[in-house]
Amino acid sequence: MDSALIPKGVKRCSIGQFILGIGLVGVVLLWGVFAMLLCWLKGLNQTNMNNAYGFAMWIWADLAVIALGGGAFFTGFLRYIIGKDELKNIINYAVLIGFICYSSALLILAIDVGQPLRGWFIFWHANVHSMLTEVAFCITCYFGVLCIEYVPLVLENRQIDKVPFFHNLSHNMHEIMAIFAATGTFLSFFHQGSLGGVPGVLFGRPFGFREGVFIWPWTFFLFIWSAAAAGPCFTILVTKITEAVTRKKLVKDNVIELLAKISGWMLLTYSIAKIADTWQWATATAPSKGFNLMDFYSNNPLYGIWVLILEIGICGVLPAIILVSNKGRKTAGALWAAVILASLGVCLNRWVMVLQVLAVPVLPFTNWNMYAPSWQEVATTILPVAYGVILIMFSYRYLPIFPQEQELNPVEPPAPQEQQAVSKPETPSDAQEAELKPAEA
Amino acid sequence: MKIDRRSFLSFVIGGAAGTAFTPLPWKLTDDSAIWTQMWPWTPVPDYGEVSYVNSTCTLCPGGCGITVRKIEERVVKIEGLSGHPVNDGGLCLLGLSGAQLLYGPRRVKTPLKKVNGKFRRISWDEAIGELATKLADLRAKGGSHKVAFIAASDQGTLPELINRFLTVYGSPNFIRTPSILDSYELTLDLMHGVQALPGFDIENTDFVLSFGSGLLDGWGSPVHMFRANSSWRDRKSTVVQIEPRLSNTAAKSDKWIPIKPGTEGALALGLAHVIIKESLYKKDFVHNYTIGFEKWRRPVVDGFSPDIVAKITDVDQTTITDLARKFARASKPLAVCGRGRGTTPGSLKEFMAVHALNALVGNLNMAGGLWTIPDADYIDWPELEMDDTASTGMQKGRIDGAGSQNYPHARYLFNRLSEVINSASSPPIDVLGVVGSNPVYTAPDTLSTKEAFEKIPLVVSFSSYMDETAEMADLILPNHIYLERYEDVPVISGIKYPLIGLAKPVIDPQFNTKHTGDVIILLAQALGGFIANAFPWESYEACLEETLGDKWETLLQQGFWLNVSFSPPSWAKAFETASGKFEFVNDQIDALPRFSSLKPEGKEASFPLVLIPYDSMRLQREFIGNPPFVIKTVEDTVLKANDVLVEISPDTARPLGLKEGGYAELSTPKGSARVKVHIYDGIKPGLVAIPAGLGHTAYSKYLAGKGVNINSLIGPVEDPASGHDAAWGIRAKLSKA
Amino acid sequence: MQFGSGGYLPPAHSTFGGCGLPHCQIAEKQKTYDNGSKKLPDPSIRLNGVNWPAKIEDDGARSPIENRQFKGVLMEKGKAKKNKKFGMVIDLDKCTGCGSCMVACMAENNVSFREDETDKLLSVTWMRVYKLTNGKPFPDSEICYLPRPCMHCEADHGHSPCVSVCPATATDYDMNTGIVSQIYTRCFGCRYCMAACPYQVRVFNWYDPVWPDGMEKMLSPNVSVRMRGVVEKCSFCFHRYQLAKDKAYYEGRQDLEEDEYQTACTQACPASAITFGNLNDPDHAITQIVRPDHQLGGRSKNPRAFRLLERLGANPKVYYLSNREWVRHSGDNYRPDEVKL
Repeated sequence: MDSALIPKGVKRCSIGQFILGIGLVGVVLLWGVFAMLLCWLKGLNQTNMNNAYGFAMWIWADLAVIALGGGAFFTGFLRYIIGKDELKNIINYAVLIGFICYSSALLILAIDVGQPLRGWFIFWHANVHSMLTEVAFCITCYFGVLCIEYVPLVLENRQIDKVPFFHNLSHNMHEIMAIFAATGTFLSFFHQGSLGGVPGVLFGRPFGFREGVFIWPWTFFLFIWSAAAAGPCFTILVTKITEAVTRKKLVKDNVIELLAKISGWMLLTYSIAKIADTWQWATATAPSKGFNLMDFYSNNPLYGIWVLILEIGICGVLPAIILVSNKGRKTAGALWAAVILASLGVCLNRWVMVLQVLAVPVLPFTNWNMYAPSWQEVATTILPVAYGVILIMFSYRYLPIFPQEQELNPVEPPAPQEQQAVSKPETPSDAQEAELKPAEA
Repeated sequence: MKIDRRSFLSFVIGGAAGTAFTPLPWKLTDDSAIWTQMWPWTPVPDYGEVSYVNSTCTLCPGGCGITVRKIEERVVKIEGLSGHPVNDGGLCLLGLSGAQLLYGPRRVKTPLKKVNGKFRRISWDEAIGELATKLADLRAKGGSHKVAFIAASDQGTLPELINRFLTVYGSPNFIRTPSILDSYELTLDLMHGVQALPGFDIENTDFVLSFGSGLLDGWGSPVHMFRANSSWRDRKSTVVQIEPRLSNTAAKSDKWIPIKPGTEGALALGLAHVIIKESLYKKDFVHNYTIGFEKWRRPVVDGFSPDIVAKITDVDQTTITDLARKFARASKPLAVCGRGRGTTPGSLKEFMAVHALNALVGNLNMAGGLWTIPDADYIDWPELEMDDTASTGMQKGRIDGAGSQNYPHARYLFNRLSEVINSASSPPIDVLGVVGSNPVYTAPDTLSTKEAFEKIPLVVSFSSYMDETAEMADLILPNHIYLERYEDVPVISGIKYPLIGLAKPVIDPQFNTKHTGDVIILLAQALGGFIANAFPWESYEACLEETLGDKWETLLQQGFWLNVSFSPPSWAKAFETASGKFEFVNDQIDALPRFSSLKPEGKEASFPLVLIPYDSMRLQREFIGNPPFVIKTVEDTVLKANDVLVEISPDTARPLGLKEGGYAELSTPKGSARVKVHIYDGIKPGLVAIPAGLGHTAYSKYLAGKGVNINSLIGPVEDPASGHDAAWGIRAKLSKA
Repeated sequence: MQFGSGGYLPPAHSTFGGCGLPHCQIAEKQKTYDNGSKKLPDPSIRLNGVNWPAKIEDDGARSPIENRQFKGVLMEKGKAKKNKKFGMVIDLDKCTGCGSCMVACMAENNVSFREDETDKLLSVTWMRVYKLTNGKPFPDSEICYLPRPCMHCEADHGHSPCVSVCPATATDYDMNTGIVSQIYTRCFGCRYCMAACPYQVRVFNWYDPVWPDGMEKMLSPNVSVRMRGVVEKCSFCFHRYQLAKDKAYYEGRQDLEEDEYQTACTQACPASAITFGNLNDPDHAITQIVRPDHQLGGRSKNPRAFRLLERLGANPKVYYLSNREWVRHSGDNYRPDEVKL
């Protein structure tokens, strides 16, 4: 039925199966939309946040998806700026994941603020000293860049590509993609760094606050570095999951391994820098405000020292070691474990940096602020996941996301009917690919 | 023109792109933001001319001066009146919330009559007419003494009008709601021989010894007490609080002495023992101006040595000895009593024991001591002319038994009312008027109070609010609230000068209400004859103006009238007992110091703990329930959602398996309730403390249904010496729920 | 250099109200000072219920011109030249925890209330009274109340924890008064300021404010009613400052006397535990009590005084007094090796 839209030379599941899949995820999406509407219409009393805990699950989800979406800018940076050519085979997917992550982040922000209709005041009445202003500007701009990076991919759909205008547009956009990759990297440096500054500048919160060189540039770069390290890991993870779900190899091992190796070194250097930061904070910054390290990890039902060990050790150093070792990268199980741990690690880091910051009591006569999200918060946080899955499903089905798919999965001689249906657009598609290659190079 | 897919798409995309370049999206974005800034459901208060009106707050007996800020004809805020002798600009949280009472959702907006269990609106003419007919019928049947009125005060023009009405109608049953004033009046009557109010020269005292009085929890005139406390801090005075629980008063005191509750009287005598033994008493006063000292001294010396008292009170001997010395050696010491806010009269012997301490240190009518303040005497109305019916009615005994053979000294015995009504075969009261009080909520033993009220054929409430008593009433004749009416308020709350405050209308009545004074006058006129003749005034306001005479102008201008030149009579003239001296012992009541603690109700075996109520400024336990602002200030360790938290010590909690915030079943011989537990280091083990002022069933959703009314768990305990309620607690059991 | 004050704000006296949009009607309506109304504010307004130029000697008899000359005298004394730095000192030994300050604040500032206010972390409260305990068992336990308004932190040159983080310049440190403002109609509810404030001063309107039918009559036009979804906090009753300045201006004075501008809580406190005034004016009672060391971020030279979380360097302008060491100790965090109790 929709075979005319499906890229040439690849096999996709039946439309019925596809619709069923979309339907299942769609139910989750609708649940999230319902929760979102509740939050907009009834207000943020639908959440379990309170005056002592004004940042909660959404802000964490925001920071986490922005970190995980870091694969887009960093892979682009490696591909277009550094010139790691192999990565062209995964850059499309990295861009798609980045697009999903950043659009989700914006959606979550629109739910999170108390007055969404005034959200644009952040631009109109911008306070240049606020980290959030910088974040808002850069995220919005970078989202624009991601759109520009994603649009050519959409235009590569077989039917759209038939229109000469779109075909040429797509072609020209590919030509200048390096500029956008550079812009994206530049913007990402800023907003990832500023997000690091969000807790780092809170000098009223000794758990998040850093001093001297450890606020600038350290904290800023820790966030950039960790996003650059964990983002590609997440791209690999999603690719691996996609491969598992479609039961196909979509990207060649050498591509994955290259990305994994770079990530591994990033993660290792990050972990070292993070340990230095933690050391300075635990032994100098926090004590100067009257806190011992263990004050942050005791007298509460959740946050123990395990958080620190899990974040830096198990989800930082361990995957880094796996990824930098040739053997680790080549062992499927180890690679899986490493990318999962790295993705988990960056999520945990964002949780610690924004949510544990608020949980730790600062006034000596107050208690830990423990928090569990309401179902509305959970639903609205899952909403972008469902939306991402749907977008991936559509993109995978109708767009040539994986350049190596055809090569890795030669299609058996198709049924005669189908052959006919797809035979016509073959030529332009071929031509396009032929054109693309020099452009990408 | 044929529209194909392509042209349609072009149209849509082109249209969208084109629109984006018009001002429309930007205008919409801007307009939607502006809309959020002025949501129609978020009120925008109007501007208007600002004015201030000075008045007196009558929400408690404190007598604070207030100044009311108005915008046009709206009351916007109530503040304390600067320069007022009671509060000088400060104000308590209830006074500050007055506007919420004025505009509160539970005002009674028009006279109401209960028909088949439901209230129906009636006109004032109908309401007064019906009541007058009922009263006339009753009187004709010789039942005039079966009319009673309950009021919060017996001083001032309104209570006097009610009393006058009852007298000329033929009923002796004017009943004042109970308070420590009952015991203090009796103490002064028996020991000084005067009918007077106690006045405390707290501004000048340098050692305050408080036997459980919540000096900073609403005792006396609250704001005045706060000011006093600040002056004690500034002047480095000493405050000692004797109380089983670390109340706010105890927390602010210099020394908190946790005592076994109910044994305060014994401690007072123990202190007297040390003072006498060590000869620390003021000899000039004791030898020259008192009588009965020798007779009183002997049992004190024999029976109240520190070791004995230590065993009774749980206060160790050195503390007792130290305290006695410090108290006696202070230059201006003052001992006060009356637990908490002083809503329960308490044990007369305890009051007398504490008062004897004041006598021993000779601070009576002295700077920094306890003064006797004569009752206000400005109400001087023509002598009543009464018919036979009235005289016959007046000769019938009071329904509460006050002044009878059994209770010769008590003036009012509100606490006996339920018992008398519930034990009678036919209702001893046919008509009960309730003015400025809410007995169904405030009387101990809610169940039996409700039973009694149900038995009374006609209950008339004059309340401005739909409170618990109003809900049970058959007729509601709503009074204006204090911001809408005139009322003279002789201050009875311990101020050391004779002081009258004037509440005046700061705003027109908001609803179809009527001043209770006017209602009384209209009733009298409707009844005619001698009754009508006794009320020659055309309105309450006219009556008030005439009554206050030369004070009226001062009151109107200044808001209060203060006898600044007042000084209490010297020792030689102060005592009007038969001997003309201060009497340590009074044979009339067998006041010899023999301590027997009034036992709380209940058996220890089945109720191993003792429940005590505690008071707080943030909880109103009297006529006025907490307005929304006030209930908002209540801590989450006192009230959590609709559950009250009771305080117990960790030692008490442990064996019972109770945890902070956990549910428990609290039961007493009077009832039981589901409560939460707050584990508190500031309470003596073995006790359970519950905040008073919660558990309303009436009023608005901001108050109703929150917590438990202490009065539903406790009953009155009759003081054998006076007949007043002397309950300070009740036996209780707490079990995990 | 002035950090954190932005440059986007209208003059200080309108910072509680308008969003700054050119046609924001609420901004016009709610500004209490230059509120766009044609009428000058009523000069006969009395603040604080006090006949309030009381402290200026023989003030009543002076004409506006003479007043201006009188003001010149003040200028010479150096009083009117300096920026003001309003602050508060609360004597915790006098505070009885009665709650008057809380209610006075609610009544003055149109603070909303809900049916259930027992979840204190959802409650809109500008002035919260904390109950501190010394943690000792019976009978050595002690309690102390600690009222906590907004600290109006000066930090380093007005770089208050909350002000610098607000992305929409909805809050500002006013260098002329030392007051941290909040523009409700500009705030879009991101709550970053709440995360930044270590004192939990800032509260969010989780719910629409609702007054029972008829009770909206008690709302004051001097303070905007806050809508759902924005952050609010104590303003040191800034509108009272505006009104007092209006009155002074009308009378030809440029400076205010100490008692002309007092916050609602200060005025209401039955224990007179709160003293409010200008920390830059050596004649003001607060300055004499606190003796701030401006070289050390306003640290008090009074051994009885302390501020909350002084070690964080926010330099709050609310001071506390207590004779009790454990109470002073409760104001900050200390490592076990620092504790000398």
